[in-house]
Amino acid sequence: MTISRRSFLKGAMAGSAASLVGPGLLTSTAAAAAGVTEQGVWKTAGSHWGAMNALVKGGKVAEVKPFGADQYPTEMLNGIKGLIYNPSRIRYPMVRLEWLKNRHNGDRTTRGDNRFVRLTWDAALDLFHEELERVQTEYGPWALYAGATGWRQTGQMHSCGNHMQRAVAMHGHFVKKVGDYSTGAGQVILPYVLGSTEVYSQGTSWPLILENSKTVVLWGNDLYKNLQVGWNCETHESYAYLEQLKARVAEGSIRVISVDPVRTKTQKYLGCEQLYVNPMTDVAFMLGMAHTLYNEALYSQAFIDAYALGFDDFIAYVQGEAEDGVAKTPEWAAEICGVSAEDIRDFARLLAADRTQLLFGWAIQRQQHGEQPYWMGAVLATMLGQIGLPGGGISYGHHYSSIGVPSSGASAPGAFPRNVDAGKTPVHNNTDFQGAASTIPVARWIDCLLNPGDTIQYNGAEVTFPDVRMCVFSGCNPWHHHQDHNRMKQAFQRLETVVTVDYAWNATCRFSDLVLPACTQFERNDIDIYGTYSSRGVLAMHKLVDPLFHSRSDFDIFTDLCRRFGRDEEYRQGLDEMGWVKRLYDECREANKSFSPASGDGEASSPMPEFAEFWKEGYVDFGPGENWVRHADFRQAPEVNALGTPSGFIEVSSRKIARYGYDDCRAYPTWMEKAERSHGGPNSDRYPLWLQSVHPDKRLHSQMCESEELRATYAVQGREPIYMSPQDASERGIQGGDLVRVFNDRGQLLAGAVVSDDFPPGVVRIQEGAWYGPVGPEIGALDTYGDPNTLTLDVGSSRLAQAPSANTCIVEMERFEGEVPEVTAFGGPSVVEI
Amino acid sequence: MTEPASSLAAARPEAGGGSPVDGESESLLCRWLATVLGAELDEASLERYRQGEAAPFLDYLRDAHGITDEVERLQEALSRLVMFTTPRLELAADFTELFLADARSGAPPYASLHAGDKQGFHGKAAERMEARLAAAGYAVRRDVAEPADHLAVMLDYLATRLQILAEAKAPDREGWRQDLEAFVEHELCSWLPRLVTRSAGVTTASDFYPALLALLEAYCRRLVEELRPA
Repeated sequence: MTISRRSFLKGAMAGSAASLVGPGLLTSTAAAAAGVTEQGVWKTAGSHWGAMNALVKGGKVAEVKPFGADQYPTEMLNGIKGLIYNPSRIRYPMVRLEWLKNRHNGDRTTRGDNRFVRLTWDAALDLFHEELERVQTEYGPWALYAGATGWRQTGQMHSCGNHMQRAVAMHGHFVKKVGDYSTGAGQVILPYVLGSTEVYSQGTSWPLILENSKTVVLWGNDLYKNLQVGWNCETHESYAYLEQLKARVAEGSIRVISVDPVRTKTQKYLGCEQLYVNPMTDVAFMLGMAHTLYNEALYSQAFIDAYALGFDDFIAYVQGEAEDGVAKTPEWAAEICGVSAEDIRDFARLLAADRTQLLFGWAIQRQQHGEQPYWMGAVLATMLGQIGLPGGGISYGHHYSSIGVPSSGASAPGAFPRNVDAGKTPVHNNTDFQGAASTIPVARWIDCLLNPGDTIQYNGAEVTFPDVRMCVFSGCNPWHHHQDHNRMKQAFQRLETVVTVDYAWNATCRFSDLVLPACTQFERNDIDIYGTYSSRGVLAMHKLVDPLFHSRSDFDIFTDLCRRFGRDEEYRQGLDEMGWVKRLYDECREANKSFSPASGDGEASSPMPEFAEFWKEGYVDFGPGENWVRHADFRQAPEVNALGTPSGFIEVSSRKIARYGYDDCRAYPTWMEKAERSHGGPNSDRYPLWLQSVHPDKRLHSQMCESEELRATYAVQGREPIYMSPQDASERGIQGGDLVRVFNDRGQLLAGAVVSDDFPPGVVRIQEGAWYGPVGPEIGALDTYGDPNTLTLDVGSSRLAQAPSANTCIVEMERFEGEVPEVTAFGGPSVVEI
Repeated sequence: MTEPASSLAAARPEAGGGSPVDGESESLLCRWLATVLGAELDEASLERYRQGEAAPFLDYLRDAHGITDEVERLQEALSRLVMFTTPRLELAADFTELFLADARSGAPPYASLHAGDKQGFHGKAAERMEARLAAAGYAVRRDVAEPADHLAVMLDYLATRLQILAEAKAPDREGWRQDLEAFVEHELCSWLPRLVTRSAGVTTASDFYPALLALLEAYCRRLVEELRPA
């Protein structure tokens, strides 16, 4: 029997088949007039990669241009559209199927390799709330870790870590973290030595360095690369000074020497000198220099007498009069660091000869014993006696945001609060962590998951790991930034529940149970500073387009979560998004009402107009700042302007640290062999290559790795590049463009070979932030894209800082043979047979 | 009828009568396809499918359009759902795997993502669809929150056009027919084969959705043929 067209319709409409036809997806509107072309509108926005103006046309971002004040924009702005409209966007709330069926009793081994199901927002937030409730009531605050936060998207109102932590804190207490992955060792050791973290402090102004320094030392510092991104909406002011420094180098008025195993982007830009040192041996090199400075009487005894303590103990160690009985002569150092004894002496003499500015990067403290090179750098600067002088002393931050750019002195806008309001308590006000720590060193959280109940030493205290059962992440991708992913896989199998809020399907989402789609910063209104350290101005971050798909702002997500336990009004303090943006602006305006720009006539009048005018204009500029010298006040009056160290003086040796009794961080900076090291160090016979995982050139950590347009400019056969020397490539039969398997005992990955004279033998580079995508769920599975943290070592820097040691990592590599697996790093949840 | 103006001007009413397409029936069929490809099945809908209540649609596709293999494949997939203890969840996970998760790893139902090398949401295909919708006095419902080039949106649009074709009188009918033929051929048949190929590469618990996509592709091919003047 056949069906006629008319009888089909009749039958379908009469029968229940019609009930299988849902309501239409379209709605009627007024028909658009033919031939009308929308011109679009330019709006102001911003990002870590740069402030910008964006043309919005037909509800889409059509074009992105650098903000007018940004004279040195980066090409990463070309990735903005690719980020907004990226196929990796999380479009709907999702839940892992196994977890939905069996919740915390389900099979956890499938986490990271399981199917997902879409949820409505209501259903998803109900589940989120139910899990918070379950964990707080069945266990307690010790079972919830919501401490991990990271490089969020820019914007003071929607700062995602603040939203997540405020909302979760309104429900109950939880385990938090201390420290971060960028400067974990530095920010713990330097308060003992120089009295503050230094790494995030404003530094001596660039004009004073350009005017006064005769020698500038870039120690493991590729600032031309790293200054491309900033914590707030970046306007790249530092580059004007780098351009001047380049001119000074060319004319010979300033000598710039980069101490680095690699020929860096900065070296090539400035046309400056390179001083090669073996990886992870900087402390030995510096001790050899200290030996020279001391024994040739090139150091400033007067400065030490006036401003420092503990020099005698340290110099006894240098002279071989300490326990180890080894003099740290240049000859001793040369054996370790690969720099000849005469070059060590010459370098020490050069630095002592005239005004020398030391500019340290962060990479050398991201290693085992990472406290030591920073401490030793401070000791060298102390011996040179130029701390507090313009163009002298030491900085640990000139490669970060706008450190070194003179500050206008204006106040920046505040932020949406991170904590519960004063006087308020959570729904579950249980503060009993059952003897475990409520705060753990951030880089030790995988240790914590794997070894609950264990006690570690940290910064003079004991930390007992809580038995964490649930984690919440928001705008934070630990599956990029934490070391040793195969170890992480094991740790995640212990967790009962993982909730992640993000905008793209990164590995952290794949290893979660509940995934909530946040919109990007271009899909909500916000406000931010531009010139993080220069306080150059305030930027309006206009919403360019509506949140894509079913994504929502962090504010909306967590307001609705709080509604489930009756705290939404308290959470948002009665304000909506624009109410908050206006409040932050108005409070900033009030704080700046007596501010007068440095270039102004000195009359006290805020340059900040009413909010409506600011929002229409898109920005307020505070004008250029004034020069400043770090630690000049201390130099001028050390008793009055004492440092924040225990003694108030520079502590070449620290009695406080000595009292801790740590054998991996002693009373003064010391050379200690690493667990593994290339160039003749431990285990280098098996794994002879040092893998450095520096900050990427064309991303912010893992942010924008998903942008195909940008990735196409650097990927090799669709993989993250591994940079290597011609010699290392040749010895292994590798040619540029080949796929390479890189491996050690911890894991293996695929990367694309780039052979370059910039790299010395024994040194390879894979930039951190490459997205993780293993071929399968098994421990040790090949990573298909090339995340270096598949291979890195997950140990604390020492008992003092317990910081990440990512740069203590040695590997071997080989040309990849066999069937090439597809890249899975940018896919959503993968599939298992059911 | 107020649009499409350009195709109307070139309308050939005498040719319109040559098309065997019954706009009203096809419109209903497309609305069904838009529904089943627009969202996961709920328990009630799934039960109706298991009770065979989709039979009129499948019979019609087989008998009126001569699509047999694909119809049988879908029927087979439906019959196999009894193997699952939680069929709705498994189908929902399949739906997610294919259509909702990271667009690179599934079979994303967006024309823009199958248009060429530079893949991203809201591409040229979406712009063309937005223009079509605007010209017809339509927009995607705000709560749907999908770009205009989502397959279900395009099928819903197609349903409205087919209904208009059903109600059109000569001399307008030929203009509508031409526009429909061009739409199905250039805006749907241009990327549906790639979507079907992508779906075949995704491991799903059930063959329901891959079979449905294959059926849709066959249907669109037949529809283009049938829209052409005899």
